[in-house]
Amino acid sequence: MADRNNGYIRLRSVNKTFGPYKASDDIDFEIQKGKLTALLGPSGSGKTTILRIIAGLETADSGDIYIDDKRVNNVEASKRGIGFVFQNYALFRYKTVYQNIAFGLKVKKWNKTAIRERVGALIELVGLSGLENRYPNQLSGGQKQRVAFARALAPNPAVLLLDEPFAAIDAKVRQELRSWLREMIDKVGITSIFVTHDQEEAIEVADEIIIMNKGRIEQIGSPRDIYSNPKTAFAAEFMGQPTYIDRINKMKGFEELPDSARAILRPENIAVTKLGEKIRYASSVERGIVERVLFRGKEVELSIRVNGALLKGPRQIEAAPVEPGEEVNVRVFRAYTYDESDNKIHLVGNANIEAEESVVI
Amino acid sequence: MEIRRNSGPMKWVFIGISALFLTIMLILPLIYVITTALQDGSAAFMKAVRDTYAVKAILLTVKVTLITLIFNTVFGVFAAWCITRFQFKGKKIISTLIDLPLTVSPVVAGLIFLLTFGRQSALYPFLKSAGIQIVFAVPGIVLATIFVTFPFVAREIIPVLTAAGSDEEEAAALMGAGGFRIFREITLPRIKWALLYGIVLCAARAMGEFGAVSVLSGHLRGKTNTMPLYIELLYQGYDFTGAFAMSAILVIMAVVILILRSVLKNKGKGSTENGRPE
Amino acid sequence: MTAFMRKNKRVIPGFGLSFGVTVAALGFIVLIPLCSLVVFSSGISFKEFAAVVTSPRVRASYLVSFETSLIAAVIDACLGLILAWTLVRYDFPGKKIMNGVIELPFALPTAVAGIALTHLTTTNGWVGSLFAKFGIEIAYTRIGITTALVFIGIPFVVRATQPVLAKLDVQYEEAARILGANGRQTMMDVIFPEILPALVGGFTLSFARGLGEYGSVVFIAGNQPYKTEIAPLMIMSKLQEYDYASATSIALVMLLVAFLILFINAVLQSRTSKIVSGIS
Repeated sequence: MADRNNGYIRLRSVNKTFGPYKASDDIDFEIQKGKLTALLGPSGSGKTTILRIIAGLETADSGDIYIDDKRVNNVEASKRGIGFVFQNYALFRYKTVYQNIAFGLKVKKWNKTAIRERVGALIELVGLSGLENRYPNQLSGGQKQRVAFARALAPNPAVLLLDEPFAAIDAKVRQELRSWLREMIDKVGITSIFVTHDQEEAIEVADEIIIMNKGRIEQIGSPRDIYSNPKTAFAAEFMGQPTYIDRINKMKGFEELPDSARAILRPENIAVTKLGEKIRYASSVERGIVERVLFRGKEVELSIRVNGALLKGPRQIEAAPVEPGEEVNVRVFRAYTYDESDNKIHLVGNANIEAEESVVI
Repeated sequence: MEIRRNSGPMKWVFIGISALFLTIMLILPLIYVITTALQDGSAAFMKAVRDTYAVKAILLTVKVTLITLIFNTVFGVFAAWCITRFQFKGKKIISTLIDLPLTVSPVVAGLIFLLTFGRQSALYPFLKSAGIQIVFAVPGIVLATIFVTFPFVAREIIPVLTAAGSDEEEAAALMGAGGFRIFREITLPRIKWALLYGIVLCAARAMGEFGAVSVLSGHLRGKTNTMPLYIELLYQGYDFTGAFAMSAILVIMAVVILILRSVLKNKGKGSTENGRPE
Repeated sequence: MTAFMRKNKRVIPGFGLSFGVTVAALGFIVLIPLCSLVVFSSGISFKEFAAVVTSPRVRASYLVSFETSLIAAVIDACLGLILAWTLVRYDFPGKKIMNGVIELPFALPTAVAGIALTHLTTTNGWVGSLFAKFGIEIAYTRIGITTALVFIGIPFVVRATQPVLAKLDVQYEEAARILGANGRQTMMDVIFPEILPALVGGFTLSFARGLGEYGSVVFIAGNQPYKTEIAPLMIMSKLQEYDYASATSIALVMLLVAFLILFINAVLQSRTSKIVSGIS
């Protein structure tokens, strides 16, 4: 774990309330220089508020904000050296692409040649050559976002903040833009934070994820960490496609758990096989009835009733098809369990499978 | 748009300028009219207002205003319906024509009716033989007032209807509802407040129209003098108390109208100020 | 009137009726009278027309009207913008009253406004006496005319700019701020271009209205030929002499100017909307 005081951006005990609504509840974290961090959470989790507090567009009620070891609470937004990309781009409608990107430099009184050089370089960097004299309304969503990006980067900020940068963009274009953004940020090497509610996006793009819920931080970690080792029930539910099991000890291999244990299962931790197919770990097999077969393009999703609970399990497209009403074998490899009384998640393996595995050595 | 809480000195400068300007330019005249009307005591005020000619003027103004209101409201609704719910060639022309009276000077407005129905027009012989007197009589006043206030109702409801889109009405039509039912149950609730405000505006302007009516009226005391014309008459006769007494009535009406406007605005996002019919 | 009427392909009923009423009303109230103007003026020889329109007194009246309306419209644009800004951006006691009072010139009859303003600004009036101390006369001068026109025109500017200011997305300002712009730069570079179209529209309406205004001006003007005689008054006096030809000639010129102003405005507006939304 990095030295607590090493972070390039640090927040300590930040609180912010809007009327009856607590947007930020004792927020504490730091972000390393050069890293791309995602603030991930559902609507109303307070993630955008944190971003805006860092930018200086909101003032925290209490707590400290440090950028590069300087306390910036009282520093004006225009002087914090931050680049900000808005959700709806906020491109100046009456300025051309060139003028938009040049705005931050004009404000800082750069001379014309320097501006032309820098804007030219940026336009090339973001791949918009030839569009300098277009007005925002003549651009596509993806192009507008790239202008917004270039504009934010123009004055060489130390930090780049992005507020749901892909929310307003078509699904197909979004994929491309995600990889493009990652590439750009790597090239420029700038410390960045972006806000999103899309966990797939966060997993794909970010170096580190901060999950937020109801104004509080649920967990901080790498995408793999958060996905595979969620620490709270919320984190486990938010990532992936969860199924909920009320009494996990009804499942084979989990009988040791207490009655009050609940669990979250992910499709990738479940294996479904037709009755005739060969399997390992037979002692942990449950029987289930297929209720629904859903074609999802890249795989088939089965809804199976096992011991009264409805599980979702994947099946490969190439494998032999399964019909609704069919009886199948189901194995649960792992479950994320938590007790009713507390929030902590324990990753519990199927005891029978583990026993079998240990024999195979 | 957020209200600035962190306000510098500019805020108070602006508020100061605004308040000063409004007070001197707008509020002061109001106060002046009322005080002058009462300066000879309320008995004189009542006498001036109860004067036969004054009463006749008031009645005429009311009559003209009511007729104008009915005509322009009906027209406004039909025109708005036609323009916002259908596509057809020439929409722009109709729009422009509706807006036209706003740009024409009231005196010119009066003039053109004079030319249309007056002695030297082609229509005059027919009118004379039918015994209809338009120019220099009440019908002329009504026509001029209608012209001048023509677009007011339409301009208030057209933006509302445009912004709302015709989806709901189309859905109802597809379900078999007839025109009047669609209007009554779907369109009307939506334009309720804008319509009312348009009517209020129209009434205000109709009561106060001076230039156009002046051209067409003939200025016959007791017959073809509306309130504004009567006020002019008194004023030019140096009967200031009388003139301001009548004015006071109109001022009170104006204030009532302003209050109504605020109420209507709060009730339903009122009009989109300065809406253009397009 | 169901959707299955084959007569027209429109889904929503009522086209025939509404169109008919609209066209009939427009024809009767707007078109026919305007046409008579055209018909009548065609009866006037061009020589006669030119003689009237270029006669010194008439020319002077055009100048008076034009000059005073222009100055008043400019004042209205500045003050109106300040008013709109104040009402949209700030909170203060009495704001509701201020908001309500703005439309007074729309609600108050022009003649009443006229006599009230006149009395206030004569040298004995409440306001006029203050200015008289500096040797400035308001009533019965061009200043008086301009004052009345400022009164008339202010709601146009406020009404035009207020909604645009109110709808202005705060993100533009935030973006400018983060890029390092201070208040003034944000105002000039970002906000002003956004409201300029509305401001120009309001200015135009105010200007056009001022040119044709009669009731509120005719009392305060004093109506001295060559000095404070406005064009509409010239028309009025010609009418009172039953000189319809001259009245019509003067009116024609006024109409043309008004149309010209509106046309220029329409062109400007469509230019800006093209930039913003790509629709011409």
